[in-house]
Formats: sequence, structure tokens, C-alpha cells
Amino acid sequence: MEKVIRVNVKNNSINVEESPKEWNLLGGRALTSTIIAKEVSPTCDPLGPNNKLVIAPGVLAGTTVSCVNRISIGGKAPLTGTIKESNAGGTTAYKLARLGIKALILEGLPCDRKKRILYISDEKIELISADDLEDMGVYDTASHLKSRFGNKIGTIIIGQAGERMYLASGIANSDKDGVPSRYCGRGGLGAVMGSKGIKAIVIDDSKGKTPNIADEGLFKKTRDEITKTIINNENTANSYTKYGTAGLVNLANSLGALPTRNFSTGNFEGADNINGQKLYDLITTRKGEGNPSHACMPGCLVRCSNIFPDSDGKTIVAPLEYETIGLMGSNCGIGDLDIIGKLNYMCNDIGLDTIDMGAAIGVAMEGGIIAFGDGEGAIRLLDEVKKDTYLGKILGNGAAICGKVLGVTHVPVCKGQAMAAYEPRAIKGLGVTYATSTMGADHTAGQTIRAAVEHRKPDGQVEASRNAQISNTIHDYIGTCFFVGGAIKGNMGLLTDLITSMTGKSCSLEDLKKTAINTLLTEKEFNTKAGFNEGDDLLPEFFYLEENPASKTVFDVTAEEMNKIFQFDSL
Amino acid sequence: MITIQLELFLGGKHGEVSHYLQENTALGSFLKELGYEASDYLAIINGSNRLEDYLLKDGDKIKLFPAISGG
Repeated sequence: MEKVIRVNVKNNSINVEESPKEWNLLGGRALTSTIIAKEVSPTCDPLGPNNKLVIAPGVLAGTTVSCVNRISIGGKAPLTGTIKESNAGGTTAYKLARLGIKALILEGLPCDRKKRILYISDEKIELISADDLEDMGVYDTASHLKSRFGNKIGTIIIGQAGERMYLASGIANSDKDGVPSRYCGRGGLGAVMGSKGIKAIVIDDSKGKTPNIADEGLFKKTRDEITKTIINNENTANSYTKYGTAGLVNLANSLGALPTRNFSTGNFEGADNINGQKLYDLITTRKGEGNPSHACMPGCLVRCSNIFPDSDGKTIVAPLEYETIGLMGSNCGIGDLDIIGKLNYMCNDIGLDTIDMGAAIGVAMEGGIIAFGDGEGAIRLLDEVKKDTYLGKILGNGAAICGKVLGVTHVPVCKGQAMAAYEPRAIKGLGVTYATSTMGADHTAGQTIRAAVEHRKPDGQVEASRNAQISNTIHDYIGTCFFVGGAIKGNMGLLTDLITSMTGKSCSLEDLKKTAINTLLTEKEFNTKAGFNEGDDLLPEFFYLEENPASKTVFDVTAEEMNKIFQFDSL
Repeated sequence: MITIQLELFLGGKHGEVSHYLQENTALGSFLKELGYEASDYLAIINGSNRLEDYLLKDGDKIKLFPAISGG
């Protein structure tokens, strides 16, 4: 990948540049954060002319090794006001890499309110008028684009939420079936894309090719080794394939960490109705279009994704994942996968982050708008969001705004972004990540559930979060799915060998860590200049004062300890 | 001798089984005997996750989960 595409939406100019040497070993989050830190003022208005949206495949993108084709989208986030990287699976990283594109940068603000498509193929890159797609849902938009440009395209699409610049809006990437449901969900980056008038990006890689591989022999050997470890590992060959991420419901519930009724407790009495086994049983008995083991990226052997059908076998949503089951299920007191699936589909279609929307609905329930457990009511609320009513606008801007407007004080957010489906009083390492991550409350920024710590104790949690933030940032920039990490475990040599064989330049685990640490420090510096300080690296107060009844703990990792999180000197 | 219960929440297996062990058996060694590498799993005992060096007590109920994370 050597091309950097700059699209200026103010004057509709498109420039293809050669990627500078200093970016050679960067990709994904390392590249998006480098570019944003260099080219975007930390104090800019995220929806103004000076913010940029940077789309970058990971370093390994473009090959069909299992689990290596994730995409990063970065910018200054409208929801948090911090630097942001939002990550997804699907096919868009693969397709961009096959066209030799290292980064796509959207700049400026349009002079009109027209909607445009950015069309990218091997032969041309152009902005095409798309007023007929204005105010269209994501799924219809994808259908239209496929009819117009062919079924094999990759798509990056925003829904009405992004067009309206709702802060909880995400960006949908196509999966390998062309379904627009792999979300760069967090931080409101859909609003940035909407501010630039870009409704969709179409990627036609029919004339693309596999990226150059410097050492074919080493590459093939390493790829085969990775394949072997994935199919021999209990988690990646069995648990993830059969239950997907929904397998986490029982685990989180047993830890007292399944957010329930607006993070008021960590144990949900309806957990058995929304867990991995229930989802698997429904999919396999209903059959039809359903599939419990589905791949989102080309070549993926883990197949943790799924297609969830209704009782007639017609798809309700694909995929239905743990985070959504948590935030739109137990967190809302809803113990019905059909309802959760429908809520998921509606969010996907309007173009919203299911985590922030689930948290927002939970806050609305606490505020008495509807009752906890009212699934039909939640569907009506999302209908209001779609219709852009005043209540809809409040909800569509996420949990933090919802809480402020409705006078709810128990709002589970850090730096304005809603927490994921792990209660921080029960998994304290994640509490540290939520508080200290440059991304705001974000589980994929530093997942500690696998760390060798007792999750309910404050001991060792800062170290666990620090290590997780480094290793997650590594995955975020090389473009690997975390789940491959579960398979290869300590043997990171498999990933470094893959990179070495692709680039021809020797890559070690130390190199990966160094790049990840540099990325985190770059992001931290951006946030500091944007106005953030230690006072922002905390959880909401109620987590410190009120016990999670399920874990019988409060969050008690001290600020003093957490402030040491980015002290990487000992590494 | 102590009695503990092991309940498996794994992809391919279910069920709760009683085990009879020597006192002061460490969790890690117990799991290893059964073929489970402790670092691949989360062992939740009476609501808290315990690590390899935890000494099992009479009446402990272990829930064993694969160490996966969500998305």
C-alpha cells in the first residue's frame, strides 16, 4: 500500500499522493492517530472545517490470512472531544489494501448541503452527486449502491444519524456478504462524515490485487501456522464459532459484571434468555437464513459472527453481538433476543452505535420515559430517533446528553462516551481502561478480562489495563482481530513474522510495543492540548460511592494509581 | 479430603461434576490435571474469579469459562 488519497470536500478536489516514508510501518490506529495529531488542531470544532476523517486499513490488510483485515477510522470525535479511533471488521480494509490505498483522508467542509458518494476503483476516484440517497437508511443505501455499482463492492455508509450529525452516529462497513453491518461505532465519527456531506464511500476492487509480499516462503509458513493454532484452540475453534461473543453473557453475569438496568447492578435475572446458548438454540431451530457461525472478514476461520433469524427464518439482524445484548438487553432490563435483535437492526439502519444507544435508552428508562424491561417502548423510542423528533434527537446524541437533559445523574460514561457491557465495579481493570483511555470509555482500548488478576480487587488493575491498552493498540494498528490474539496467545512471533514477510523489514514484538506506546502517547498529547487533564481520567462518581450489589464492590482504584497508567518506562 | 463442584461453560461441554481432592490443592494444578491450562480459562468461585495459586476449599463451586471477550 503506497497511496494516500486526499479528498477535499470544499473544492471537490481529489489528490493521490505517495505515502511518506515515515508512515511505511504504520497502519490502522497508529496511522490515523499520527495523521490526526499532525494535521488536525486539537482545539478544532469536530464538525467544522478543520477536522479530518482518516480511514486506514491495518498493516496486514489485503491478504486472506484469518483475522487480519480490520479497518480503522479516526478523527477528533464529536462525542468525546478527544482524538478517536474506531475499529471494525468487514471487507473495506481488504478492498482498500488491494487497491494499494494506505489511507483515505476527508478534509474540509462542503459549500452546499448536497450529499455525495466517493467512488474509488483502480481506474478512477470521483465524487458523485447522491441527493437521491439523502435521509435514506443504511440498508437501503447499500442496496442502491450495489444495484448501481455491482454486488462485489465494499461500502462505507452513514445513515440518517450521521447526516443529522447525531453524536452517537457510527459508520457502517460492508461484510463479506455486502451487508452494511460492521460498525466503526464509537465516538460519533458518523457525524464527522455527515458534516463533510459524504453519504457513502464505494470501493470497487475488481481490478485490485494482493499487496506485494516480500518473502512469500515465510509468509505462507506463518499463515499455515496461524491457521493451525486457530483451529486447535478451544476458544477460536469452538466457543467463538458456536456462540460468538454472546458466549460472554454467562461469564459476565457470573462475575456480577453484566450491566443491568442502567448499570445499577451486574446480575440480570433474565440472563438465561439472552445468553450464547439461547442465541445458538434459536438460530439452529429456526434455521432459514440463520447461521450461528459466520465470517465478517474474508478468510476468517473463527466465524464468531452470526445471522439471527426470526421464527419464520427471515433475518432479524446480522450480527447480534455481546455488547448489544448487554447494553440494549440487560442494561435496559430486556430479556428477549427478538426485541434486542430488532433494536440492533434499527440502530444499524439509522446509523447509530448500539452501545451508546443502549446506554441512552437505559438512562431514559431511569428517567421514567419508559419502564425498564419495556421492549416495545424501546422500539418506539428508536422510531422517534428515526423520525428526528425532539425526544429522538436527545436519544440520538447518546447517553451523556440524554442524562443531562432528563436530569438523570447515574450516567455510565467517561469523557462523554458510554461504557461497554462490563460493569467497572466488578471488572476493575476495565474500569481503569474506561477512565484512562484516550478514547473515553472503551472496552476494545484495553480489555482486561483475560488478565491474571482477581477482577473484584483493586490490586494490579492499573498494570493489567496498561498492558491491555498496549496489546489492544497493537491489534488496532496491525489490523488484527483480538480473537486471533486468544488463539496465538503468547506467540506474538506469528504476527511479527507475518509483518516481516510482508514488508521485508524485520519486525519484532518490541517494535510492535514501541509503535503502540508511541501511538498512545501521541493521542494523550492531543487530548491534553484539547483541554483534557487528570480530572477527566475518572469514572462517574456513583461508581465510587455505591456498591454494585452483584459483586458487592465499589470502584476503588485510586486516581493516584491511575495517573501512572502511561508510565511506560519500565517496559 | 475436600469436595468441590466443577461446572463447565465451554463450547462443547456442559454439566456439573463433583471432585474429591486433597486439602490445599491449588486451582491451577487441579485444572491442569483435567487438561485445562489455567490461563485459557476464567474460573469463577462463589462469584469471584480466582487465579492459579488459589487454594481450593471444601464446598467451593467452580464455574469454568473460556477466557473470551466481547465485541
